[in-house]
Amino acid sequence: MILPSMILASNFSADSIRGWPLWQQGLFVVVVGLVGVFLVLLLFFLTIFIMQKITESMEKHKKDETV
Amino acid sequence: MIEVFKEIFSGFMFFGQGDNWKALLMYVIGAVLIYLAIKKEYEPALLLPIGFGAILVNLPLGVVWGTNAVPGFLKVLYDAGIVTELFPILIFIAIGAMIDFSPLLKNPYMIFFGAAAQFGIFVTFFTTLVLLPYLGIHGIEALKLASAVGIIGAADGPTTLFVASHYKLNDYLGPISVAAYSYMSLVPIIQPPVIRLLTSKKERMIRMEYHESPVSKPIKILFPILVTIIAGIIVPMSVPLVGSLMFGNLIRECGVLERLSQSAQNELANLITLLLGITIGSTMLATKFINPVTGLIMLLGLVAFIFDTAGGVLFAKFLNLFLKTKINPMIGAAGISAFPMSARVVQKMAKKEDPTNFILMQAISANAAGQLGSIVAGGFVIALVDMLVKQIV
Repeated sequence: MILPSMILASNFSADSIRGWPLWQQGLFVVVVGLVGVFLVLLLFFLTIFIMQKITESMEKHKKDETV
Repeated sequence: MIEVFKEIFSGFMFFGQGDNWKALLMYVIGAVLIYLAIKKEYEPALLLPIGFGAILVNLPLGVVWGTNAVPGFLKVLYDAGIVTELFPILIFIAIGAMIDFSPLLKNPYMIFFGAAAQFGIFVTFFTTLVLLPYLGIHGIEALKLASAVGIIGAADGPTTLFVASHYKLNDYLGPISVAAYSYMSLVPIIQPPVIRLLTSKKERMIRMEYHESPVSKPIKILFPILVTIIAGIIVPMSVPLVGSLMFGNLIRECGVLERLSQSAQNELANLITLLLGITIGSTMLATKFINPVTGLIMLLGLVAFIFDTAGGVLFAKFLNLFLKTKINPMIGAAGISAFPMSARVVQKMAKKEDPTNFILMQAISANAAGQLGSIVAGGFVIALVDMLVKQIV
C-alpha cells in the first residue's frame, strides 16, 4: 500500500524515486520491470499474430486467384 | 643466503603471506568445478575452463593476471571481452543462430510464459536488495549487485554476465557466473521438486493438443527484425542483447548465409565459450571470492531459479482458472531461458505421469519465449537501475 500511495502522492519524477528508501526503489523496479516484460512480450505476440494473419490472407488471396 | 632462497622459492613463500593461504582453497574450488564438468558433465564447456581459470589466477605472483602496466594474458582477455561486454554479445549471436523460433511462431500465446517465468529475477533482485545492507553493501552498490544477482534467475549465462559487466562488478563476476552456469546445468534437479510441489498429479497429466502448421519463410525473416525494432524502441538498453540474438537468428533464417550461420553456431560459439570460461575463472581471485557475499550470491541464485519455475507454473494455473481447454501447468516452468533443457525436463515429467502424453512442442515454444523474456527482463533491469543510479547520460 505504501508504494502506490507514494506514487500517487509524489510528482513521480526520476528524482523523487531516487529519494525513496532503498527497498521502495527495489519494489519500483520489481513492479515496473515485471509489467514491462509482459508488455514487451505482448507486443511480440501481437507482431507474430498480425504477421500470421497477413500471411494467411495473402495465401488465401493467391489460392483464390489460381482458382 | 636466506634472501636468495626466498627469491628462488617465492612461490612457496607466497602462501605464508597475509591472506594468500586462501589461494589453496581456490585450487580446491577449481578442482571441484573441473570434477563436476568431467565426471557429472554439468555444463562442461564452461565449468572446466572456469575451474582451470580459478586455479591459474590464484597461482603465486599472479603472473597470468599481471598488473595494469604489464597485463597478463588473462587480464588482456578480461579487458577485451568482459569489460567491453563483447563476449556475452558474441555468444548471443551464436545462440541466435542456434535457436529455431518456429515452435514459438506456431504457438505465439506461449510467449507469455516467457514473461511469467522471469518472476524469479525480480523476487531475487528485491530479496538481495533487502539482504545486502546486512553485509555492509548499501545504496547504489546494493542496487547494482542486486541487479546482477537477480538476473542469475534468467537462467541465461550471457545475460547475467552482460548485466554484471555493465555495472563493473568485477569483484563479484566469479561467483555470479559460477552460480548462473552451475544452476543452469542443475535445471533437471532444481525444477522437478518445485513443479511437483505446486501441481497435482491430475494437473501434470493434462494433455495439450498440438497442431502442426508450417511457418512461412517471410515470417521467420521478419520476426527477428521486428522484435529488434520493438525492443529497441521500448527498452533501448536491451538492444545489445536482443539485437545480437536476433542478428544471429536472421543469419540462420535468411537462407542465403548458410556458411555464416554454421560458423556462428560452431566456430564462434566454441571459441567464445572457450575464452569466456577461462576469463570468468580468472576473476575468482581468492581474496575477492572467499567472503560472505559469495555465499549469499550462490544461495540467492538458487532462489532465483526456484521462483522462476514457480512463477511460470503459477501463471499457467492462474490462466487455467479462466480457460475452457486447460493448459498443463508444467509448461509454465519451461518459460525459463535454459534452452532446451527445461523443455526436456517438463516433457520427461509429463511422460512419467502418463507415458502417452506428449507436450514437448509446447514446452519448447515456452522455452524459446524464455530466451526472449530473459533478455527483455535484463534490459528492463538495466534501464530501471541505471535510472536510479543516474547512469543515463
